[in-house]
Amino acid sequence: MSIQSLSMTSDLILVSEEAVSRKELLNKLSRLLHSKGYVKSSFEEAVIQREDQYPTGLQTRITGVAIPHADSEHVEKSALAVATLKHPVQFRAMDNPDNIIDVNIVIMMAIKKSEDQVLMLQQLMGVLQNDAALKKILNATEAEAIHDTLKEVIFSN
Amino acid sequence: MVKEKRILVACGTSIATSTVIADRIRNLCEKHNIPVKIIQCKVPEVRSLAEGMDLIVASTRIPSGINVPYVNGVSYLSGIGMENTDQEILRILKEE
Repeated sequence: MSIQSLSMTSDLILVSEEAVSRKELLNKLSRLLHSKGYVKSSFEEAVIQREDQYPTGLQTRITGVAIPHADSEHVEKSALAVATLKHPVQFRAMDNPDNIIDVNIVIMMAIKKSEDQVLMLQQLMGVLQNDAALKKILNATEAEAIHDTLKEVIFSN
Repeated sequence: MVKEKRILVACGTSIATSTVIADRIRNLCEKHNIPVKIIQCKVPEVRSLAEGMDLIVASTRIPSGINVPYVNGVSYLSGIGMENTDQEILRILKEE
């Protein structure tokens, strides 16, 4: 895919994460991206605010998935940070904030160029609509397995 | 000549999810020979742009009290019920 130098490395993937709340999880993934220089310090607040205003929970055929993101002005280098959850965390649904979705997979997008946001999202939709890939991600016990699955779906298109 | 249908596609930023949805609708309408003009916008802009539209499709909830048919387009993202959404859109566009 043509997204410029997108980083999706195993050290940006958390497996069977135990988080008590959506906010805790968003803090953790944002800080992970920040600690490795992918996003500015403003990203964390921006992503939480955006999730409040425009929730990103999606119910797929396999499981609840959230795709939190923020404007590209808060991003230094494009990257994906991923968490699978030991226990589901509640996110509000993108199409109706009154609906609560039990989310087991969180894919945080930090994309530097806004044109790339579209490309990235299109690739991610391929993941969300790929039952086999989602099951693999959900059941993975190692970051490497999630990384390989995502890479296969995202970069093969 | 068939009258061109005007569709407003809205999401949080008017960039990412609305583009995914707009692409799907464009292909759908092409397949069914319905000429369309698709305009993408941010959700807060829906109210001011709704006039004269035949349909609004959004990945998020839109403001209430808008007198244009609305279809929830989230299935195009999640993969659940895409065909139903297709049918709903075609039904509205083929009315009148």
